[in-house]
Amino acid sequence: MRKGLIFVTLVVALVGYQMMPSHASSHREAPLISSDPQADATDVYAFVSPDDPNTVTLISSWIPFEDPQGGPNFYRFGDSVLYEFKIDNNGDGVEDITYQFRFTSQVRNPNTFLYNTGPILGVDNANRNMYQTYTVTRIDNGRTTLTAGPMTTMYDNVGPASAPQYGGRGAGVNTFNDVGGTSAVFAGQSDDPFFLDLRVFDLLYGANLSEAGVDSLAGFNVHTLAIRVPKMSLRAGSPIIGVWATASRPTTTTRTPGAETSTGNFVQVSRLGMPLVNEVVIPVGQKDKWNGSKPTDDGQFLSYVTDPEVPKLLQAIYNIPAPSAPRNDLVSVFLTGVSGLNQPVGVRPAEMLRLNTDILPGLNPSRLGVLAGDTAGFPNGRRLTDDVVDITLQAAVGVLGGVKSSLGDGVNVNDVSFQRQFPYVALPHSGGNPWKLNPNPAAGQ
Amino acid sequence: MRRLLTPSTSVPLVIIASVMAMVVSANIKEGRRDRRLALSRGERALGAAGAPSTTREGLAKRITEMEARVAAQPDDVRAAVLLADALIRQTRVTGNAGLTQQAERVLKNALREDPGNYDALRMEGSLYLSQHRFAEAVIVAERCRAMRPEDSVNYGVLGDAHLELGDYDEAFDAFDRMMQLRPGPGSYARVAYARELQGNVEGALQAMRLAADASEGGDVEAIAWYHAQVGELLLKLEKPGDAMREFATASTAFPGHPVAVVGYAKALETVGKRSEARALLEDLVHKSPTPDVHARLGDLLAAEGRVKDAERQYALAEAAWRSDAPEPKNLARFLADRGEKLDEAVAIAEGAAKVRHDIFTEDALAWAYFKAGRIDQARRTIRLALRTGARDREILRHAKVIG
Repeated sequence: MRKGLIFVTLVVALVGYQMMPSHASSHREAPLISSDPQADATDVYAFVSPDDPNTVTLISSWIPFEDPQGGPNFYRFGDSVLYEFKIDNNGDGVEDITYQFRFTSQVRNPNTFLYNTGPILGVDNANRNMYQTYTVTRIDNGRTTLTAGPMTTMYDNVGPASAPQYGGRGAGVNTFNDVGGTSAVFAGQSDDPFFLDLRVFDLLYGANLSEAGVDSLAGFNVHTLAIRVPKMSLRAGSPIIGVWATASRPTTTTRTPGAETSTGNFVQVSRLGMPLVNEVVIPVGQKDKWNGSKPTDDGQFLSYVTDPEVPKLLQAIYNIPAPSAPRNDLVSVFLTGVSGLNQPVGVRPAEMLRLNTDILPGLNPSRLGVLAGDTAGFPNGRRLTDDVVDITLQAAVGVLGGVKSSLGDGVNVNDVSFQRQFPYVALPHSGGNPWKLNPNPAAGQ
Repeated sequence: MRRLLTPSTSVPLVIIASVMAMVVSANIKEGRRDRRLALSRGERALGAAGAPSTTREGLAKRITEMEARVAAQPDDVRAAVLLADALIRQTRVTGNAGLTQQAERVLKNALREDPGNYDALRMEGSLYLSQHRFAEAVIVAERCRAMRPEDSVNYGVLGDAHLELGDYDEAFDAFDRMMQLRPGPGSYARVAYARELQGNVEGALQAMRLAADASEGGDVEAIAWYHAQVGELLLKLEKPGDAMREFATASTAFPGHPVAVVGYAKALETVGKRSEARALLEDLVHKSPTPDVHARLGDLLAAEGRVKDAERQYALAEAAWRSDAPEPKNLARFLADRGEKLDEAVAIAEGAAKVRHDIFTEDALAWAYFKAGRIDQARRTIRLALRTGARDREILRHAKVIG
């Protein structure tokens, strides 16, 4: 020890600080399974706009489980993410029309961490320190037809002091001259419009369904991309369009000299059409493959649907007879749309949200959609109010075969009201009005 | 439109219904055995009121809850995997290496219940990485890759392990494959390492910035980690002011994360605020007593002339490198730096170099040879440490001294 002491002293004395021992360069454990919420699509909606039936509205939700008090930077879209809505209008499984969204983060004062430097009184208010601009590009059959923007995103609902009088009619909505006339777009925070009790998936293992009834997504926000387009500009011969959303990220390589951030190639990392499919049909181990796949290649996932377990499970637990496998009936409907409702002529089987744009919105939409005779709803497209989980459960126990049932997850409506005009989603929960303190926040009312 | 609901359409409706049922089904089919909650959002919501939590409290809570689940149902492999993940992260956050041993026990038990369970095997790869058992990590990752070639994570494990073993071509190939399968925070960060190892620090910085940006909105532990890495690269580029901003961002995301605190202390040192840096590390060493922090604190104390306090930290570092968190190359270089037990330093480094030939192990061996007066061997070995073109300050300094 004595010798060591002398040595240290000598080192310090003789060679000074530069010669101090170094302990750098140990093993670096970058997170392996880190989530990518900016590129994580949770829901897609497509419906004929109730207040403007000549248009179709497409909505996608991103960044799940946003805490309204998510400061100090709050949430934003990914600058390096390519967000797309894809539309197949002839049933061949290939997109004919694409709307692309690209974002660029902007900071007014880089010397502060603050989201705002005073009350934000509008999207372009100088007190809004951090914001994003975005462009919307329309592509028809592989050719860029127009790019609109840059436009500005709607700001987050960070609280009454920083964001007084949040929302209001048309807040954050931009319009642009599109192929078929004027289109409207919205990019920004909203309430998570999906409503369900997530425990319902546990309950299928045999627990008591009456235990459900809590909206697991109540109080959480998402980031919403919405676009309202003249519907004729999306259609080819048929009134039926297929819709899905994707997110892609740029690739870059290990051996590139210099500071390149993209080889120019984008890899699709998220894909979503029908609700629950991405999350539930596709096994965890196939997710990368699914998220990178195209609808035209959906045949590779057939094995997950031809011999489904749920009907058997329901038979075992609830004594409901299960139809026998192979369920080619399921496969055709899952991938093609329903004949006479939303199946394109000569359809190529592919998973997407299929919407018959000739079916006009009714005055009294039913949350059970087509199951309740309301053909303007799911699975003919999907509206914000459609209760896709209850439709699943009731159908599974035989409602359509005449069985009376009100089975469901006990969550029939969203935790806050949807807006009656574009972008229709409810306003985001306020960071200054945490839902934990107030289970029924007034946002969106 | 109502006509669509006449009896002629009721058959398709039944089919729709079944489709909905099918939707729930397939995953249960695969997950029934381990009672997995297949819905990814549900998984994130597990036990935490819906929020995906990797905060300090969130990790602790998950550990408590999953321990209870595993205790009640030893065949609940999903809970075991979630528990192991939280324990491995907690290791990084607390510096308590004993937690990886608990994670190992949990995973081994799970794999006894369900030997082929993919999720448990994949987590075992991560575990071996955190325990620095790189050869075993390669074996597990290869097995997982054979099971699911499309899962990008396996290429991350494989590449990390090869990188540590010094098999750089294999590592870079694995990272490129990971990127092609799934560009995202994990793959951007690994491209950043690969570039840094090749001396492309600017390119590494850009890739690490992509990783930091892409992690936003989610896992706070990961956000802290990526921003701290950006900070480290900025320090290498001699931009301590910008680096401090990144470390501050990291510590905002995950208050007191060791990578953020250590980085901030380094930046303070760089701008000459040594006593402030020392105060930060003195606080950290109580919360997260890793050998690296002990050694670094020792350096700062020594620089202030507090030799006795420095010695104490060095002794703690040495003890930890020998027992709790064995890291032969660090121990060998530490001993060589101090000019102590040089024969042992050489023996330790030679032992390490038998199983891995990464540039940092070669550097430690070269430095130990040099200090032990074995100059020819030092010269031969330091060339191996220079082979990737990394612009590592220590390696370059050793190379200069060795000549």
